[in-house]
Amino acid sequence: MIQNSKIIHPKRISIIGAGTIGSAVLKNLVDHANIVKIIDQNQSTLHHIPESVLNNNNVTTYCGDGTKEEVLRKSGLQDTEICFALTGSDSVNLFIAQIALHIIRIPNVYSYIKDPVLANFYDTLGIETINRTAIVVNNILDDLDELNQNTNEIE
Amino acid sequence: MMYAIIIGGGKIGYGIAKWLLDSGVEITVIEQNSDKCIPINQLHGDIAVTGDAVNTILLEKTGIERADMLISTLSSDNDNLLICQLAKHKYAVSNVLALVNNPNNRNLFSVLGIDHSIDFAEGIVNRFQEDIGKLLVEEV
Repeated sequence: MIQNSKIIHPKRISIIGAGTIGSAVLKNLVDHANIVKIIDQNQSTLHHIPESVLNNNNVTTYCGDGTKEEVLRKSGLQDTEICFALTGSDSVNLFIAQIALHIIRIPNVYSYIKDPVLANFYDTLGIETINRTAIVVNNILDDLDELNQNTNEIE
Repeated sequence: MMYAIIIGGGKIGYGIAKWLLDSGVEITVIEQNSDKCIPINQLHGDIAVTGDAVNTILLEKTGIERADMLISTLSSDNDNLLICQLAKHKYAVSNVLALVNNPNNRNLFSVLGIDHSIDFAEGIVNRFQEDIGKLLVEEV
C-alpha cells in the first residue's frame, strides 16, 4: 500500500527581496518542494539566508536590482509561474509587480504592501497585494467569530 | 484658475514651479527636504509643503482632488509611477506627467497609461543634438 500518495505539484517561484519576510517565505516554499529563485540587490542580505536553505538544490540566488527589467530577465524570472515582491518598500514592490505582470507577463504576481490605503487602491488596479493590517484585522475578526460560536454553544 | 501639484522641489521641480507661476497657474510643491522648500517659498508665498508624497493623507491635504495637473519629478521612478497612478486612478487628475529617470522604464509608464512621461536623458540628448546640428551646418 502506498502511503502519503498525495501528489505534489512543485511550482517554479521567484521572490524579490531576501529580508525577514522574503527569507521566511523562501524556507517555507522550499520545504514544500517548490523550485525557488530569490533575488536581492545586496549580496550580504543573500548571505543571511540559512545555509540549510541555500544548500537545497531547488534554491538559486541572484544578486541585482529587481526594479530593472533586464535584471529580472537575467535572473530567469520569465521561467517562473509565480512571483512575490517582498522588499521593504511599497513603491519598489509595486514597481516590480507591475514589470512582472505587464512587461514580463508572469501569470501570478503578489506584492507585500505595508500601507493599507495603497493595498486597497492597487487591488482595484488588478494587482494582488498582501497587507499585514488586513491580515491582522481578519485574524481578529475570525477569533471573535470563534469566541461567539463557543459562547453560543455553552448557552 | 488652473491648479497644479508638483512632486519634488529639486532643480527640475523648482524650474517648473517658477515657469508655471509666471504663467499664472496656482501651484503647490511637495518636497521632502525642508531646506529645498525655502527657495520655493521665496518664489511666491507659502507654496511648498514638506513631506513624503508617497502618502495619500499628504496628497489629500494639498487638495489633489481639485488639481487639474500633477507633475512628478522625483529621482525615483518607482515613486513617480506610484504617485502618478494614484493621481490618475484614485483622484481622477486629468493631466498627469512623470519624469522617467531610467529610459528603460519608459515602456512600463506607457503600458500603464501614464501618457506624458518625460525621459530625462532623451531630453538632454535632444538639446545637444539641436546645438551640435547648428554647429555642423555652420562648419559646412
